[in-house]
Amino acid sequence: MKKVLTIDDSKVIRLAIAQHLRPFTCQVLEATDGQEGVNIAKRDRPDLILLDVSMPVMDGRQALALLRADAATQSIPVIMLTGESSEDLVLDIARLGVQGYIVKPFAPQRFEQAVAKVLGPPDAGLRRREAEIVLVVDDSERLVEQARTLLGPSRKVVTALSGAAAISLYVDSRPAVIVIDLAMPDMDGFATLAAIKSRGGADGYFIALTVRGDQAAREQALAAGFASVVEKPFQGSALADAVAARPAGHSAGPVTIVDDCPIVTMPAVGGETFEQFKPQEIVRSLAEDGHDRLILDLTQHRQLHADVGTAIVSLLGGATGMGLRVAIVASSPEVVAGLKALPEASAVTCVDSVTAARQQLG
Amino acid sequence: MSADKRADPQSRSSPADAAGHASGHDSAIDASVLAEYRNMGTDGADDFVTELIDVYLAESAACVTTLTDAAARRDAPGLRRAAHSLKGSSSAVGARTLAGVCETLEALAAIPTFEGMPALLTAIADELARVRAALQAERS
Repeated sequence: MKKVLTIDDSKVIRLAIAQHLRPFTCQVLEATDGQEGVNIAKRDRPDLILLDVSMPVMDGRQALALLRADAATQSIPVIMLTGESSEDLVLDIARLGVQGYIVKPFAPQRFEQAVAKVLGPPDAGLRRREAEIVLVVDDSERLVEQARTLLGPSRKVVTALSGAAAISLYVDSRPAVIVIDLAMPDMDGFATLAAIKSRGGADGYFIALTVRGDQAAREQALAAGFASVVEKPFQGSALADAVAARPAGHSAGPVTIVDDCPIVTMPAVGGETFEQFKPQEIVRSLAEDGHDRLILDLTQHRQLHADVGTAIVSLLGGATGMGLRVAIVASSPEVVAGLKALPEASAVTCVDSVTAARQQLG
Repeated sequence: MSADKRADPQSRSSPADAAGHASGHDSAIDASVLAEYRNMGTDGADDFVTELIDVYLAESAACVTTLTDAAARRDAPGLRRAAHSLKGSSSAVGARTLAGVCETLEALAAIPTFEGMPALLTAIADELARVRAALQAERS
């Protein structure tokens, strides 16, 4: 089994790192300062050292100098961890001869990518999953809160108390699963399903909620395009099971057209969907269909991963070439700051909702 | 493009700003950070979050003691290290506002100047109390 040595004075950080290392199935060694880390490195010869820059007793730079000066440790790959992202510091670290650096707090994808360069890819079965967004629509406040609890913290649950509210929420949050009560006042579940489908949700995964024993409603729901039906009041894990039954490969694709405006959703890094995401091809096909604008949706991203940055630059380049105007939707401050730092993206309008993006594009 | 002040250290240049920010009404922790740990495809992710919170509660208390002692001794390097440490561990549990105040204190200690330090230490203590309450709620 490979060994990874974490040198950081904070136990919280060491614990978080150990958790992030779990998909790599390695033995994790720990040291609380540079001196202790150098001693352990000499004794145990780890396959990788994750070294904090700022520590008491002996800081990361001094520790690295000692590691590089000793024949026993000089070839061990080192990734530096730093709380600062200033250009000077990054250049400084690069000069020290390390395999990479990670700025804390780190995005899980960035961490995984940096470590995988040294240790090889993580065990696919142990990789982190992206939080799945589930939209629950019911006119009972008590029921939507109950659904939120039943679906658990591993899913991001957004809720609407009416069909009309669900439609705008669908456009803004692009959920993987949509759970809709069939019997709502004003706009019932069937009308809500049809409205969401006509606004880009044609390939959505829909689950209907009915009252116990209403066999007619169940059959009508399945005929209308709901994938399954869950009865109220909820029994045990019926709701969570129905949501979990969504096929793993089910995806609405990166492009949805809402009221004639294409919305391109940037997939999460690391998955198959990202590998199949071809910005240039998407832009070309939109231009061929006569579109002159597009919204790039980055709301699923909390950090601006380097690979996402590359995909954005490629998409923007293609859009400029094809005469498409672009607005970007991002909700994370880290992503907004990252975009500002990308010269190719700095002039593009960046807003926090699809609705605002549509207004910007006219 | 809208800029978020938390992403720009320059916008937090005065201690008064930082203290004001800390007493604002935004939530003490970004719950998505802990949710992300819980969402990792590994067994025992919930136990891990509980352990992370417990370790943070102990470590942050020790850090504040170190900060207070260092301030009393006017020990700028000690203040800077403790502020840096608290900033890092706070970020790891999603306590972004607290991490931001710590960053301001770290920058002042690097100059070094003690001007505005008492207000910042109070801001850190107040914000840490909010963070602890939020984490206790996440824990249970």
